[in-house]
Amino acid sequence: MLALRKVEKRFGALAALDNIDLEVAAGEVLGVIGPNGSGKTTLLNTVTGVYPPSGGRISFQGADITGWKGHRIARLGIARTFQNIRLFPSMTVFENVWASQHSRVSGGLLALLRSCPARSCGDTRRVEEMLELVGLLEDREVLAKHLPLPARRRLEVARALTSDPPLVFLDEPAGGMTPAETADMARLIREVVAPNRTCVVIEHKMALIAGVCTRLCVLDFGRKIAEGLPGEVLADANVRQAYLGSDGALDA
Amino acid sequence: MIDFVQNTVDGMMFGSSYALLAIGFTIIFGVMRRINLSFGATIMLGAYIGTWLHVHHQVSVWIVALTTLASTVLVGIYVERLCFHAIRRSAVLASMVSSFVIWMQLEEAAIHLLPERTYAFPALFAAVSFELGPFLFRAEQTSMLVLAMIMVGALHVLLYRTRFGLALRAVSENPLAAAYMGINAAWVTLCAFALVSLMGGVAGYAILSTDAQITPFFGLWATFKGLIAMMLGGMGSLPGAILGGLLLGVVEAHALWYLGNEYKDLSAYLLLFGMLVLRPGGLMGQRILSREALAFRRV
Repeated sequence: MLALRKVEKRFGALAALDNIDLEVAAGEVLGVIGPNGSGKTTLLNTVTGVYPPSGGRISFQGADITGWKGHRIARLGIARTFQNIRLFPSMTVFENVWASQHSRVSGGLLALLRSCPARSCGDTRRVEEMLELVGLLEDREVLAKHLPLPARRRLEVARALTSDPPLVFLDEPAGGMTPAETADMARLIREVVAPNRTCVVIEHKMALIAGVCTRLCVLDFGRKIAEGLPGEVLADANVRQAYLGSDGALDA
Repeated sequence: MIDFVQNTVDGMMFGSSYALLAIGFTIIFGVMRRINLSFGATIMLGAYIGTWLHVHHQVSVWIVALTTLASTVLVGIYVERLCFHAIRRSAVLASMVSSFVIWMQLEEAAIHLLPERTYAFPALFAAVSFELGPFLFRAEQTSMLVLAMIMVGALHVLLYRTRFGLALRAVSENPLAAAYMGINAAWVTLCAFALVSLMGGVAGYAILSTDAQITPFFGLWATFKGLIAMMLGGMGSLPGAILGGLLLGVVEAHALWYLGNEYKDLSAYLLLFGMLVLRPGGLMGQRILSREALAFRRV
């Protein structure tokens, strides 16, 4: 589904990604783990077009998307959430999800002006369905900036899923959450995000990783140091070394 | 008392054009977090092209009006391509300096087009006035208010009832997230520039019709008035831009009447100074300030 071939990303002299080869198969939930600064978010940003790779090729469903701009990649069917949540803070919960349906419309200015986002003339059912799935339907008229953190993360997930993308990246979906909230997020990923689509989860928290991922990929200093089934990868000596060398988060 | 009311009404009518200029600044600030110093000069050059047609080809006033609007939009697009699109989003200072340089460039272009200092500007409405009770209404100022109200109404529909408006608001709130909704931020920004140039063209045309003359300094004047009105209302706030424009117009009208013409512009600077000291975010700026704080916390 998604394939990276010898992808590199350099910031000046620093190689944030070094020769990454990675395949994401259709239907799997791939966890990308690694210590802080190992290149996880850089990997995500490179694939989704925040910045172009310094080298290598990226292809999605057979199309070469190397160097494409973010909005084109999004229209092709790759959605994402952000580690530091990026909602539209002064819009309501409903409008945040409604805005994401915009990506289904392309074309010239006239097409944009003609089609109207007033709630009376569009498919609000889809938005309501998504809000219901993530448990935010009752808060639909609340401004996004007034939501508590776990609800903001759930809203980002809903926003990413509305256009029904075949591939979703979740960047630390449980960041800053308590264990109970993390368990809720794991359930949301298992029951709402993962069915019928491919998912890549970037995360520190083993509670989340162990609960949702079908396969793991470990990064350290921009290199892929291990890949495989969760049980095998977590038992790997190199992986334990990488983690214990930082903060021992593996056991958390 | 009658004088006071008359001045207030006059001030609000003229202030409605300030409001349109301020909306231009505030939308661009909202979308790009940048200030386009050459906005006034964009309008000036657009109006100069209209005036040039009138001076050299004696076209009708309607064609002058339409040419002014169309060329303001084209110049606005030129400014966006050269000064904002070409410079990275993060280079805020560089694009502000380059917008100043483009201002000078547009002023030079206007001077080459029509080298004399002052030209008569062909107004669409004859300078007639009518009385309503004890109050006097001038046709060109009344039409200014009506035009501004139509523009603001149309803008409201555009922003809150169309997909383009939704995209524009999304880009203003968070450009990166907007990109991952499939919104082409560069295209939306270009459209926003064309849109505010059109509004600025309308405001500029209405003001120049009232003045009945045009000089290259109109660019400086329009940038000042628009910036002051935006700062009064609060940067990035649409209702703030409207309130700020009206407030500026009213204060200037009273200063003109009670203190004399030389105090008119001074009162505007004094008003801005007072606002910046007492309420730095502007009238409606509180929300913007807290939103910015939110952005800095990066939650």
